Amino acid sequence: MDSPPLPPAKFRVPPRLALCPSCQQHVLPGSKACPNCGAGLDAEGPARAEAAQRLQAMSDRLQALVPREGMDLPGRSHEAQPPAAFLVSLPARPWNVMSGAEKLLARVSLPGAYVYDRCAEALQRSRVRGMAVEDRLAAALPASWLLNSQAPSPVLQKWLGTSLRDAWRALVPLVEGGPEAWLARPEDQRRQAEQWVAQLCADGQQLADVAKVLALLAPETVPLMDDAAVAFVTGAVPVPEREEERRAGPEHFLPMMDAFTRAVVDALDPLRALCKTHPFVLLEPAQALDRLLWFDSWGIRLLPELAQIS
Amino acid sequence: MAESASTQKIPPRHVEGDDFQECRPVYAVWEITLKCDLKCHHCGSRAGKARPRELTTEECLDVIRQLARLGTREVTIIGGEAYLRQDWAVLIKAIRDAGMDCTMTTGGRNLTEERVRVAAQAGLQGVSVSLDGLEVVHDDIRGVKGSFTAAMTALERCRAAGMVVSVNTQIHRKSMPQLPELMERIIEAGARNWQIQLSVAMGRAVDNPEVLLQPYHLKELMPMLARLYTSGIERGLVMQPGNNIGYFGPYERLWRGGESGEAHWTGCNAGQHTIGLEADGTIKGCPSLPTNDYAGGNIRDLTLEHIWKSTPQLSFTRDRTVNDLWGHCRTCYYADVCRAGCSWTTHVLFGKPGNNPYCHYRVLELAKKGLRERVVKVADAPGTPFDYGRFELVEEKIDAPVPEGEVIVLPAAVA
Repeated sequence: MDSPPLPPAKFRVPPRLALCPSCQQHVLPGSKACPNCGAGLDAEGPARAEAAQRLQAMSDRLQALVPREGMDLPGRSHEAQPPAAFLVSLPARPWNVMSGAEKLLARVSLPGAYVYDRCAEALQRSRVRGMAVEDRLAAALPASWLLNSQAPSPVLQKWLGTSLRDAWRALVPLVEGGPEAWLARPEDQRRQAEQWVAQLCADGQQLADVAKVLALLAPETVPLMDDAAVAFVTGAVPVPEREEERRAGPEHFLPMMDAFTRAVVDALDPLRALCKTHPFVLLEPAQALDRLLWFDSWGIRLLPELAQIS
Repeated sequence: MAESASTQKIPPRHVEGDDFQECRPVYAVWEITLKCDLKCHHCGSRAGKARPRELTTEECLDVIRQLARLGTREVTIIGGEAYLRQDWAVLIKAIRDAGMDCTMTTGGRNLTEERVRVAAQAGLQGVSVSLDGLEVVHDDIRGVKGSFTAAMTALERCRAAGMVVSVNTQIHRKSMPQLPELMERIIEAGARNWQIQLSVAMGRAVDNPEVLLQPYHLKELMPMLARLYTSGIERGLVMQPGNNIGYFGPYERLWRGGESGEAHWTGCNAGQHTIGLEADGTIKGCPSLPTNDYAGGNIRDLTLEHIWKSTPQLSFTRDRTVNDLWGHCRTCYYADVCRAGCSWTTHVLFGKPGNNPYCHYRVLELAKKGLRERVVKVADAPGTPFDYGRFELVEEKIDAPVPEGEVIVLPAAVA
């Protein structure tokens, strides 16, 4: 065996990728946006670390403001552990839900989001005690402004008027009962629900404006449905450039509801575990998934802003 | 008995900065004989009879010394069937005496108690038994009735002998729907690792292309694997995706992320950290690569170090850049890191590496555009070990009718 001299060589060390803080998929160093979920990646690592600290401070502040201890809420268990991660299949993408407990905490630390969730909780109790749909609707309409509903007061007035009030009265029972009940609805009832939503949007309101009311009246089933979430779940509308951008209309109601409720059913166990350990408000599994959807489809972009709130 | 591979803090195959810079062959896969007691329909090497001039014991012992000098940390002996070579225990002992870990991949058909005892005594630390489906499918694809039962018995024997027992499974159209139930059997058998990989269009698999998955099947396969991975972890079984399971996408961090979650696929390992040896002394960058295209030389003619460091057939992945890629891989967001995934999988389809349709990220990106890809065989393989045919890549609308035989019905629980 006669071998020639060997060349000295130093070979390439492959680049190390980072994780997108939104979808937890790998991104190249220096990327401005995640190729998988579209989230902006401008926030630097130190800024994120600072944001995490500020979020903790916000949570502490909320804890001090609101004398409500998570473990004292009904249904809470000291043994429950929030899942570190779970997988959800959405029509537009597989979704790897990471750090759900922290994301729910970040969201509920926003004043408007906290009051909205408390309002939904109170309306749930009112429903159990027999309060009529139209009375709960009257309370839900202004509460929907807490999360930037764009329906102005004349529209709310019209929604409480005779004809559209009847639309709400017919629509709400169709979406009550949770995700499994929705998925079991006969086609004619689903189409009827879609038509009621279209009627409520007839004056130029968009899907999100109706959904922000429905999510108070039937939080066990209906998501908030901002455009970012609709895009994230269904891919049927473009990813918005601004949070208040509205392109999703009543025609997106059924695809969004179907995909969302299937996802809730799919992830029921981890969602229940998250709800059991969430402090400050009582959440339904559907609400937990909806808030996580908001976080991963849009909220992550606001991390620096979130950090400024406290 | 020495500390087993799986209980060491750093697994021998783990690659660190120096390994990259020095290009150490930390992991060697060595076909010590092509003699085999199975007739697998997907066998890339068309194993059965021994090669005409397999290395002698003395030559093998010299190879072991050379591997140790090059920095190899683990040697997996394969075949054919490694245990059909008379001196296999001598080689195991020599590998261990040289300071390297020794493991074996086997079909297990004739892995008798005596053979297990001898191997354990020689220092064999781990055994990975091939299971390619439940009994009927496995026996059919392995070409021998009773081979599933024999494989399960081999697993039990190795476990009883104190070895780390693992299972490796090829994913094809027949085994894919059975993976959830197969995992149950694997857990019951006490296996700790489960390596999975896609069946590849090489050797007898080209003669039976109807067993191969289509690229678009990854859209259903990968979420199922992710669920199985999570479920397996909770029950003490670690699923290990092989080099042709990937790349990036939503589950990369799950199975390649490590403790931090940030680790990821870094490109084809062939000739970078993996070396493949054939029973007649032919050296390749990966044991699976087609011999005609990737043989860097023979250790009867050159030293292992020379072949490893100086032949283009082994250094092709070290020098590969984005400019060597083509098709969708050329313009992919991850191109510079991924470099088109597994070279073997692609080369045997299209006659050259650099454009890999079996990629989950790619499947998802195409789906966003309403598209999917299929491979269609256009030429047979000639019928020699590690041969391949030729396939064409077809891009079509995602809702185009699925050809008969390509529909895979998953169990309701995982669909």
